[in-house]
Amino acid sequence: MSESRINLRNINLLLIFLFPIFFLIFGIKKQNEIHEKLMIQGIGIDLDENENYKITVQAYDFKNPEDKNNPRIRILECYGRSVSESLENLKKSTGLYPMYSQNRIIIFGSTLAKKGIKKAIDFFSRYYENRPSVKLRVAKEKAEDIIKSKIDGKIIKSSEVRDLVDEKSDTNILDFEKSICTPYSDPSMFILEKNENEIICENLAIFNNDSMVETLDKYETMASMIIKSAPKIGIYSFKMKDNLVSCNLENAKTKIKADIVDNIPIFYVESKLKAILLESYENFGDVKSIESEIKNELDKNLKNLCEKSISKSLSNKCDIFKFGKILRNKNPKYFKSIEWKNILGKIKFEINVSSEISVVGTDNQ
Amino acid sequence: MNKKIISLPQFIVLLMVNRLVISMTFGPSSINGNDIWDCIISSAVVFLLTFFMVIPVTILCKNSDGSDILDINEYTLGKFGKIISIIYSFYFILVCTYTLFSFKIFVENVINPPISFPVLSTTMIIFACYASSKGIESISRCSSIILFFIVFLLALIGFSLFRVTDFTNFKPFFYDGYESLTDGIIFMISRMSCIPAMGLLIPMTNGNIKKGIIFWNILVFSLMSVSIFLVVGVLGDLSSVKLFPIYTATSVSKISKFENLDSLYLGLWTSGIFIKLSMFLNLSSECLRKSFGNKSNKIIIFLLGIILFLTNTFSKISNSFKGIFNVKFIFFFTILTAFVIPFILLLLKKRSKKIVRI
Repeated sequence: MSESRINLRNINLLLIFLFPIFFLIFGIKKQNEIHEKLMIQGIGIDLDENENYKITVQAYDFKNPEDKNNPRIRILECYGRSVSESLENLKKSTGLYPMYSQNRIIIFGSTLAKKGIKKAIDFFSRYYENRPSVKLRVAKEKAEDIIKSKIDGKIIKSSEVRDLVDEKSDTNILDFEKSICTPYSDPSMFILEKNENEIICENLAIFNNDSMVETLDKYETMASMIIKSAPKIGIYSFKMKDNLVSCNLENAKTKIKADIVDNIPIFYVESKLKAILLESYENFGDVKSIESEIKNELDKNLKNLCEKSISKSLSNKCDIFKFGKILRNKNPKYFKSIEWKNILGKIKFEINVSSEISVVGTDNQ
Repeated sequence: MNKKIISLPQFIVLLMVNRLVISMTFGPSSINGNDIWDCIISSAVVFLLTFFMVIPVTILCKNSDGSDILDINEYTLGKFGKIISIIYSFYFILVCTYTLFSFKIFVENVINPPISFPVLSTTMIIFACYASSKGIESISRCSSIILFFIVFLLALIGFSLFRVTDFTNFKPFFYDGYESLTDGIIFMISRMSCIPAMGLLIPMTNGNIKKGIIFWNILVFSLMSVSIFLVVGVLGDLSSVKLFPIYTATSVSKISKFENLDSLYLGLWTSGIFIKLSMFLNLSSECLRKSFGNKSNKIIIFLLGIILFLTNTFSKISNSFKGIFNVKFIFFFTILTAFVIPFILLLLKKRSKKIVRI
């Protein structure tokens, strides 16, 4: 009897003791309501003439919704000497608390990308609200043009811009950090280009450390995706006997082996991929019979493109294909004895592309 | 004399949760900024060393008719044994302080919650005190539930990370020298607080202890190795730069439409911290209770909670206090309590038996 009383008293004491703590946790600390927050969806970072940052933000404003169900998409601009300072000004100008956890994409202006984006990205890799999976892109001209883009008078959402590239081929904050944390790998990013009524994303920017030095065109970009073993590459059209053949390229699997011949590294790049025939010349009934011809022509074209893509990268002393890492793992002693960036222009490579043609949609056996 | 109050699976689960909590915070700062990848070898070495280290404590407690290391200590060393009990109590509190300190660094750097850390840690200490007052049996039951979720989550994260593992990230072992091997071994042994805890837990356990320890060791070090493999596979050289690489890797894990798995990681890791604090508070109070006569366990736990609160607050004020979080300091105490003291006690016990026979 007395024991149960003691227990009851203990529980009461505990509850009395815990009450102020819960009060502290949930009561005193004011939480921002959703209408007090600015849900950032996309950030465009440009550099002005005075080397200050001009940041354009696309955000959801729940305080002034468009209608009952949809928040208003707001485009905001802020300036500052650093990214965090600029974004702080955003809070001052709107009175809303910026929330970065919903951010989809960060776009860098070409001027900034050429000068180096390491400093601009630092805030996003440090601040706890930012997620490392946020996608990174480079604008062909200004980042603000992409963030402000409209179709039929409506702003193009950042999530739609993000989805222009397959997720597995895209570059995020973590990928970028991984590439620049060692001197023997470099990042690459897709380029966003604004046309009159659309945003195109098919070229690739090559970086040397954190500075953009070169761009790959649409087909070279596809070749780089093959070398990087991308699951979805896209539709590739080529001429064969004065007719156009179109294939959907996917499931690329590339193996890169390294060797050293005459003290110069040589890389053997072996790519296999699936090519689904979508359009062909002459009549469809003959396609099966000329399958090997299509395959040979496609392989030859892709091989040329891969060579161009690698050459462009290496001639700019950029290693976007992780050749350095492969050589380091294969021959660490040799790798330690060389300055990787200096030797990049001299390395040799052999490429072999083999596609598996798949004919679908017709019964032409 | 202790009653057999926990089963063998509960014993394994308790030790597993306690070890995994520390493994989840493993990062370059723990090994002087050296390469994490080499720690796979360290982990294999420590796996073998653990079998060697547990021998004295297992033999000592297994054949002691329910007496734990403190009872044997008092029996063989008399009044001097109280000092040993106090050393154990200090060590267990040190483990709690270190755990809370890791929690603090993690919260301040990664989560940055809307509530202040002192409030969060005080709440944690209060609940840990309450749980430890309920006894080892209750803590082990609670840890079984938490371990189930931890294993489920680790499997989920592991599967998702394996798909994005880049095999070019695995550089040859000891590429930057052998320092990482020794630093890894020292770090992993310094976090072997489970072995001193075994000195009190084995007599309470019902079942084949030998099998349990083998199973626990295999499980802990295979999970540790898999974690290192995945983290390096996903982050590459970045794993040697990030403060909490395992957490960073989980933040990009994704399965189908399920993403942001790091939020689950946070919840489970915090639960693990709670279990660890509760268990070591309980063990520390048990040491003090036995050395100062059978005073009420709850009062001792309450006092230990206050000490934990003060050390937690004091560590914020004084930089010199941070010296106790030095790996070598904890390594010394771990070796002392896990191996040296049990080994000496084992020798003394065998000698006293011989004298009795003569």
